[in-house]
Amino acid sequence: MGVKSLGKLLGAAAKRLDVPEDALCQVPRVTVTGGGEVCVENHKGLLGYTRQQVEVAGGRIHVRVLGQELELRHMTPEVLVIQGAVYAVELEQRGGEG
Amino acid sequence: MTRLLRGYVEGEVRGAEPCAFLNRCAGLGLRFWDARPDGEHVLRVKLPLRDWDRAAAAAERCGCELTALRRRGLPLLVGRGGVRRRILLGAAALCTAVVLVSSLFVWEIEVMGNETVPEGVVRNVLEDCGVGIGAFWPAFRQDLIRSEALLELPELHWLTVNTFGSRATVIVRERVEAPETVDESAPTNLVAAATGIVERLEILEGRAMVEPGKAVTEGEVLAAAAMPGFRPALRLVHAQGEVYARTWRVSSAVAELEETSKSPSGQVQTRWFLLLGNNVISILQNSGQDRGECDIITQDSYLGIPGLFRLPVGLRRTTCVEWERQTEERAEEEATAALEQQLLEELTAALGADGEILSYHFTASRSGERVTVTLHAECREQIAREQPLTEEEIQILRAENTENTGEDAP
Repeated sequence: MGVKSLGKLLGAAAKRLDVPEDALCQVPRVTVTGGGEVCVENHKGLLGYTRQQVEVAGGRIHVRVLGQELELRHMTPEVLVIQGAVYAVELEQRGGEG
Repeated sequence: MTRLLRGYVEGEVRGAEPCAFLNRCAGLGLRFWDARPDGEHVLRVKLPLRDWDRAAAAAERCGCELTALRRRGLPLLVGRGGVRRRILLGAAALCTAVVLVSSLFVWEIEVMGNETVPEGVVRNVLEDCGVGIGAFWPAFRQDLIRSEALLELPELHWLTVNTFGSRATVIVRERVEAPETVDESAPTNLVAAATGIVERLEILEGRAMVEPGKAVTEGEVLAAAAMPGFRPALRLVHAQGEVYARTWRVSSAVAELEETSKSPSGQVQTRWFLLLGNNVISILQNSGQDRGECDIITQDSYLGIPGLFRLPVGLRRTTCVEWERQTEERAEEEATAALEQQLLEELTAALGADGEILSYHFTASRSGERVTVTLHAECREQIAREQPLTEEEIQILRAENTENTGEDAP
């Protein structure tokens, strides 16, 4: 069984067991506070970073934060906090899953 | 604030993939903050001072170059200066620590709200309860202190100890005694408070024993409590009323014609003492010697901010102002006039609002360096005062009544 299949299986199990998906699978949890802060948990690192766009790897899903004057406020292996004028948060499914 | 205390470096990362540096830092557990791109291949980031070397190594492995732009924080401030600056900073840190620790102990106690109970008594009792100079105030238990202190001081009905820094304010409330009640049904006579001639009687209750124009002596009954009746034949009442009489008063006062006064000799000595908690240590032993008679003025100054906190260290300045006794002769007329004035004032106060002085004259005599003035005054005053009957007097009156009328005592 491949890693992708295992992730898919765990996602299905989480839905069946009625538990949050991020508790079983390593999917990112994105929290947007007002229009000035985005917090991404369970991330896999930064993919790109400019003042207008921050791209965060999150396993099966990539998170793209769009805005102005974006700034990486804080980053640990688990949590990443972006501040600035946030216009949009896009999620991109990777590898044809979901 | 913590970042400033620990120190941080603002650095610039240059390379093909500055994001890789951030990922690596996060992976290694290196803290960083305020990361922002400054161009396509440049990134500015702030890092803790202690992680700088590890971050530089991480940047090198990512193919980036980490350059320090600015360093800030307390460690740099301390490390930058010379020995003198370090000593000053150390002394400042020590002082701050002393002040912080000292503010946890009581170095000043103020007692408020006491009127009849002396402050020293309250302080002694509080010291027995653990509230004394040098006590650790966070360990105070209000309820225990209050119950212990109120047991020792029954004159108080409430007490609280408020601490603010090293200052403890003790607020007390004294017990208000219930006023003495007058038993208006107790058999009471009206007797003369002074010898005189009765001018006017206003008897509200009781049997009048005198009439206007009659001379009475001090202690004589003016209105009796025993009232004759039909059934019962004897009725004991609380005699009430006012009796005005002419009285004659004689009072004397004496004054010395030689007056002793203090005159500064011009000699002032100052001594210094070091105050450490409750201890007083003499410093500069030879700064002064005790002389004869002098006024001592003591001034204590403690380290701290007045009203906020106080350290247990201070200085006591004792100033001794020497004086000499000087004897001055006083004029006899002046002394006599002063005594006359004094005697008149005393008599007016003794007569009260109901009394008046009808006539008066003075006689003065001198014996050696002493003058004596005597006031002879004729007054009109209210002389009736209440005197309750004793149990024995009541028994006698009842026995006489039984004997005379054959009526049983009530």
